[in-house]
Amino acid sequence: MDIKEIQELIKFVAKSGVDEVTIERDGFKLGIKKNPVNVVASSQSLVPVTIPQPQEIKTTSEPKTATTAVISDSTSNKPVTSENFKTVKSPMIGTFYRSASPGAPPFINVGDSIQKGKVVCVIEAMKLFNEIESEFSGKILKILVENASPVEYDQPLFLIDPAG
Amino acid sequence: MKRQPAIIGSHFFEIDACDSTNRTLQEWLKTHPLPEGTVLRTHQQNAGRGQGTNTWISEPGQNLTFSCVLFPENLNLSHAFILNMAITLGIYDYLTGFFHDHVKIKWPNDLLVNQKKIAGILFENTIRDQKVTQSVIGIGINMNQEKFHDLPNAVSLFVLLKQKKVLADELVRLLKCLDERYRLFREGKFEEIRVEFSRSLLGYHEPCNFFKEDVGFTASIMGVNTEGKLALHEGDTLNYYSHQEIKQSWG
Repeated sequence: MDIKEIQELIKFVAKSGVDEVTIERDGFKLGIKKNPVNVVASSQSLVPVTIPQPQEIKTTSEPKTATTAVISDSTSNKPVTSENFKTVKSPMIGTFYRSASPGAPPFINVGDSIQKGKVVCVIEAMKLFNEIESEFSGKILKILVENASPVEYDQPLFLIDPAG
Repeated sequence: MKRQPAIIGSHFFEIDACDSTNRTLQEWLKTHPLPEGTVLRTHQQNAGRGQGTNTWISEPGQNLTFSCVLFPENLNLSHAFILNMAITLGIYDYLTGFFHDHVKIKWPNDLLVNQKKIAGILFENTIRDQKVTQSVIGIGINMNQEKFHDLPNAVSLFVLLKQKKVLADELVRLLKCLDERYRLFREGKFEEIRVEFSRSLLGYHEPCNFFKEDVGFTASIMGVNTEGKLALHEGDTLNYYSHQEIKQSWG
């Protein structure tokens, strides 16, 4: 598999709805995964692919910012790489709140195990208060936004370990 | 044509007192599959909530304080504001029965008579997969309260009409107004709702004062778009603003 093919494949994965593609042939293994926080599947991320084959190459296992690269799991002290995470993203522009009303306990905290459908935050937009349900089950690894701060459409709000 | 049965107010509960009818109804919904349109009224709301850190203060037994739950079908988040417009117009319709064109909507969802606040709404939506699946709507209307000591910008029906109302009768009329607007919403008459809402705004086609990051400016409201953004005519340009970006001064 040459660089061009890999490039094409990365483009394909980036555009498609799939989150992860793994190809294994002739002792060569290539894994492409859409990073839920930083989209790294761009042409720039091809640089590491030039290292000699056959080696396991993970083009997207190193996000560009340090915040999500490795997060230590507080219970097991086992490092967790971001490729296993799911992110809950903001479905709208608005203001992010961690609790239903000022002074009320937060909907969720780091370390909580939640079921799909659990309310994780409120986003206020146009004076409408929107309780956001999680699309995934799992353990809350990180809360990425400060309470009462503005959020953009599609901005990652929570990192969830689906295996947690 | 046979009239369809009402949705809003189809089921009705009344309790003497609670902290907040929105909160109580939301708690009930977690354990009971209440039908759409269920209304919960209380005579005394001890910790009525307004927007954010604001509270809704109401003298016991004097005013209408209630909440209603709706389960809109297939309502995309981008259209969430249209439901707000429909409900706000329902209250507007009820009030214009008494005060005609003195009633104005202060964007995005307060109701004023002669520039004083008479009613407020608190929308709490549940979002699943980019859709609004549940809407708990808290409504407070100042009815028979005689004095608003620390609230110079508040007013009641009594203050304006010098006449006490039977709250239960008024609630029936109000719910009918809300139901009619919700019917329009369910029929997908979004543009009709948007245009009527726009025309009813305080400052519609009139110079009005606004603040953007503490800087004041004057502009005319041309209406809102479906997302609820306010269209302002500033000089020669038309700009759209979200509620976070600008404040309208009034009163």
